[in-house]
Amino acid sequence: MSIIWSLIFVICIVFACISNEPSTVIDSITNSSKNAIENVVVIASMLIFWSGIFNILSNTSALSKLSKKMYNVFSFLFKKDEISEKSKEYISLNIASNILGVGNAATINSLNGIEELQKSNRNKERLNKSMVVFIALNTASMQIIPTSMISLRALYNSQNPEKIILPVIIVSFVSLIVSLISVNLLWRKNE
Amino acid sequence: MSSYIIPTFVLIVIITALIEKINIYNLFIDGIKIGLKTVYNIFPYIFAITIISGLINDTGILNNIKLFNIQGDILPLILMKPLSGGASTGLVVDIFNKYGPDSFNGLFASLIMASTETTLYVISIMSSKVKIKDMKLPIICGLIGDITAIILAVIITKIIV
Repeated sequence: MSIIWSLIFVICIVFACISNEPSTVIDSITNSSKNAIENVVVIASMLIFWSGIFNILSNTSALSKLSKKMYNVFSFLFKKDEISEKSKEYISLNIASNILGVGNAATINSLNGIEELQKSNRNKERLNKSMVVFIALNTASMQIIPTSMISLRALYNSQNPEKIILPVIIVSFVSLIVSLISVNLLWRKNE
Repeated sequence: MSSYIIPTFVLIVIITALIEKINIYNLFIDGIKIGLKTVYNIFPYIFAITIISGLINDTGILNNIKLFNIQGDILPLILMKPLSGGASTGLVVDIFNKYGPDSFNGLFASLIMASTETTLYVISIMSSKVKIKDMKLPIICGLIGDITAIILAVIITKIIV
């Protein structure tokens, strides 16, 4: 990251000097700093509200109820001998919080889940298939209602901020399926 | 119709909490504290990325690059989203400022932002948690998913814009 960042910086400054407009650099930097502060205020205003709502949600029984149902839906993806009772619990909580969009709970449960899976992993140096599947579930987006994106669109005066709900569900669902299919295909090839 | 979704969602959360006799106000306040911490944590990334994207825009370096007929602003977002949530949020805000959220670029950015995850970041924290370095398979599968999402998002955005 620091290489990319510095590279862009260097290229831009050199480019500005070559094209005889060195003053754009300092204008750009001062303008951007101002923009960055404004952007953060905008982002904060939607992020903080939803953080409050999701904190309420994660303390209701909705999460645990949904997580029980969710494991039945996703259990066929995991190998029985690679999964302990405890990891089952974390995995289902992780899936449920991802679907509801409770980011903090999702992160905590993803880390606990992968740790539990590692405990019952026979070769500690190598991922087993259930671990790869679990990671694939977490690198895909599963949130049903993209609340923060809708709020951000509304803040920028979108005519129809909710327009993205159905497209987002389609795109995330298809990309999750494709990613899981590629896990299965590549895993067989790996073995 | 769809404008009812968000209010209904908030309503359901609050009513469920009321039925279960949970201390809603305190939880909301705690959630705000968590949110403030998140903002504090992502601010440096947003600042750094805004400076960089400002420089790219103002010096006009990327003006000539086009990918799938999309203006240069989308490319940095596609590259940044798998790495950092904060930085890509900064880029989305830039795009909204420049083109508006209902333009092709704005809709495409909204879709990418909401339907993909920070794939490489997620894999890196999970990798460090289990201390397994070989993450080739999850990286490939995660990126295959992301590329699918990008292609599909282009198609859908063209239809709905």
